[in-house]
Amino acid sequence: MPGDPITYEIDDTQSVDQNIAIFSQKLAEFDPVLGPVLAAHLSAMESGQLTVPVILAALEQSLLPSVNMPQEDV
Amino acid sequence: MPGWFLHALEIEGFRGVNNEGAPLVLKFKDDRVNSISAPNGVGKSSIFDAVTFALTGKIPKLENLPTAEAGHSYYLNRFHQGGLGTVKMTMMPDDGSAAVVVTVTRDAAGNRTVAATGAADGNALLAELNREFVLLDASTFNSFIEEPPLSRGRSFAGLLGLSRYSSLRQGLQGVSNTRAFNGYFDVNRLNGIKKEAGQRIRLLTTAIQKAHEDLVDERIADGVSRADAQAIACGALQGIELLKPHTQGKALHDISVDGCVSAIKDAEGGEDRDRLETIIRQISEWDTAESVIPSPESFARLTALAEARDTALASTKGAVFKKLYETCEEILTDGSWAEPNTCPVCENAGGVPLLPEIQSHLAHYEEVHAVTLALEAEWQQGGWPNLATLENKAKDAAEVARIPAFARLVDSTGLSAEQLLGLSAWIVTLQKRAADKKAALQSEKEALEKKLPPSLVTLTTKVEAARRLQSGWRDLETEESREREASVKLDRVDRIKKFLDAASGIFSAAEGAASARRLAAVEPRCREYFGHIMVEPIIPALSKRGTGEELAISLAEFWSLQNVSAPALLSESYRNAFAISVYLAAASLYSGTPRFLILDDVTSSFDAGHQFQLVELIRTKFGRPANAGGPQAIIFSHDTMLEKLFNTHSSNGDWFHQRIEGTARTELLPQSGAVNKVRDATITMLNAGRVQDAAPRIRQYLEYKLEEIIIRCKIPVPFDVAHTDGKAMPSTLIKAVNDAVALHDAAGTLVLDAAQVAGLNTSVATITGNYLAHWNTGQTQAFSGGSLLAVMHAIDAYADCFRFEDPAGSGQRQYYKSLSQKL
Repeated sequence: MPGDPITYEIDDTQSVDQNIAIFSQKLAEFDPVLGPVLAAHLSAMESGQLTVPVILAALEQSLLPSVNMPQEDV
Repeated sequence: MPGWFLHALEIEGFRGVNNEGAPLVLKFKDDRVNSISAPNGVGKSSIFDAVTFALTGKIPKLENLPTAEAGHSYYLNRFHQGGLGTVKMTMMPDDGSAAVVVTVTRDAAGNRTVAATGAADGNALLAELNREFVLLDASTFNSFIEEPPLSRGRSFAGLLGLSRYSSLRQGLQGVSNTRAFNGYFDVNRLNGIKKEAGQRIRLLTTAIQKAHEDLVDERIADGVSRADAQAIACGALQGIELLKPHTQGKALHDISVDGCVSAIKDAEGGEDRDRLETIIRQISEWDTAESVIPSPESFARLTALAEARDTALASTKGAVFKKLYETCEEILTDGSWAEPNTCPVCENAGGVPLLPEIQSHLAHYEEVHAVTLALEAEWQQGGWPNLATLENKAKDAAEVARIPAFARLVDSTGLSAEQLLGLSAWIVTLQKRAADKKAALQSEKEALEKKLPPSLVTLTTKVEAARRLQSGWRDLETEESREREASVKLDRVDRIKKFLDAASGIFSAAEGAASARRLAAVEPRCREYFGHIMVEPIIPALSKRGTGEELAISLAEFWSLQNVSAPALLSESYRNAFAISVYLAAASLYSGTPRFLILDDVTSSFDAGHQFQLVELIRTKFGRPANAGGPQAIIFSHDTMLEKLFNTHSSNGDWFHQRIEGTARTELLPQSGAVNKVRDATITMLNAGRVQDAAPRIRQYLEYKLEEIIIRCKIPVPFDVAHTDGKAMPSTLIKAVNDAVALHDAAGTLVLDAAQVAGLNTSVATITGNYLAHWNTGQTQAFSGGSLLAVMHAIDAYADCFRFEDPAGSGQRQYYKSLSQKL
């Protein structure tokens, strides 16, 4: 579940890639499930290579029980 | 990644550069300001186009042509036989590592290839070099002033080195956009299911309570569990002696109600028993069907939405126009259309930007869409689809069902207020029929109850109540499952939406803050540069509101006025100066990977004074070498006055100037360092009989040799020689040389020997008689290969009259120091 609100600033002394990497970390801190999924798509999103449905599908998939609920012992 | 200078450019078969088999090669120096001059129509813009294509993959001015013009077919040179355009960029890194050559081609089918030397990724390097300030021309500057604040702000983000951040910001905004988000997850439908299931649960709970009461003679007490309530109902049935064979040892859902009915029928016998049971069931069914009629409040909401939809719909012009408006909006906002006041359909220009008008039309369609969605949601959530149950019971067999037709309208185009009135009237009819039918059934039931023993009548009522309980509990579980499923999905969707809103908001704020920081750094430099170009008391201003993307431009000062509109007040030259100042200021601070920029004829709107000021700004403040950390500036110009200035600076060591000559049909060649190529290629053409192709090159070669003689021997030329008509230039220069020779001869100071003086006259006679006399008058049909070959030899002989062998007997010849001094 989402954690506390995060703060983020672009650091002018860092490269774009480094700044985006920091933003990715912040997203993961904010929501450990959804954050890494969105972070994995930031690069493609920034270069315009991803469509909105692809990202939304990935986010939804990460919340489906089969992915994140603990499996019962068999 | 290091910064990259443009070291060399090689072009063949592209735009106005034919050069088949002998590409146009331009060298640039990264420690100088570079300039290229050429007369109009020779190919400067083709060189600019070639770099544009290499970096971006397209040439906007061709892509924006009407379809009938087939702009895509003009990328390649129409005279080139190979059907392939090639652009090679030799890029020199600023970290001392090896140069990388990136080769970009385009074939006749429009296919583009990119290759790079070594391990370099050509596409990645070109993408890094594709920054907003690298390729600048007049239309870029004009767009900057004219375009809407949002587009200007997004372009500006690129200038500030924030284009990737801006793209990511737009991407995050796109993915969290409420309409797209709700559309993808079908949020309205999910909410509809949840609400409809909730409504069904409430109805079923009431119906179960009623049936339980009919069977047990008391209500389900508060706090009693579902299992206990069913056990109590089951116990009530099991307590009836007559029914025990069918009820003992069974749970409520396992009891056969039909078996119980048969038992009663067996005990009582007769058709009256059957009829009473049927009537009781039918009355119950009518009660259930009537219970689903939506509330008057829901009908009032539907009516209000339908009226709003009718109003919005009246402001639209149908689907075809919607498609037209959407296409226009796309053209006007994707950067492919450079004339914001001109309609891309009819190409008529108006006095105001077209985009707001187009978006106003589209807003009406948006409103229709929004109201239609709200109407659909109310239809679902108000339980209107359930009316089909009542309709199926109340309509005559021959009548067509109307509720499904209304539902289809809601799903597709929406309902009008008039159609809703029809629906209302139909419901009243159905209610009337239901009331009539129930009254008839009730009357018949009462008559039967009087005929039958009271105990069995009660028993039948209880058995039918048991039947309703069985189906009620079952349906309740189904609806609860639907509601639960929709709720779980909505919770999931809500979490994603809140996460995306937060991510988008946080990043937008960060990008906006970075943009504001960099804007604050750019503005003072922009003002400094503007002040260098335009000396008048005018101060440009750039501003952004909060963390928004829009960039506003204005004038902080305009003579005695403060904070006034820049687009409204500035003339074309001042607008250009404003935009140039912004671009150069941003490039000087945030150039990043590309360390070069090309300015194509950006001084055209300036008078000579302002041209000079701009060149001085670039030479002394902005570009290398004066600003060692700054960009390598490359200036294209057709202006002969500027060329004089370029030539003057070339002698100071901080400038590198080249002039190109030629035609799109044959080839372009830089004069600097390529004179031998010009001579060799011309002689080859003449030997091959290509007289018309060779003729313009002879003038190029002749001009070069004459200028070489004049410079090396320090021969004075008329002050206005730069303004001489192009065709008359060689004659003017020959006259200047002859006059100087005659003057020194008369003064007795001439260093040329007698044979050389005689040779001058012979060569000039050949050059003038065989070539210039016809060239100057355009009578080129008089040329022949043999006579022009003689002209080429005469040009060399003429130049040789100004040289001597040094040292004697070495065979090496050099120019006299002047007409009166040998060494």
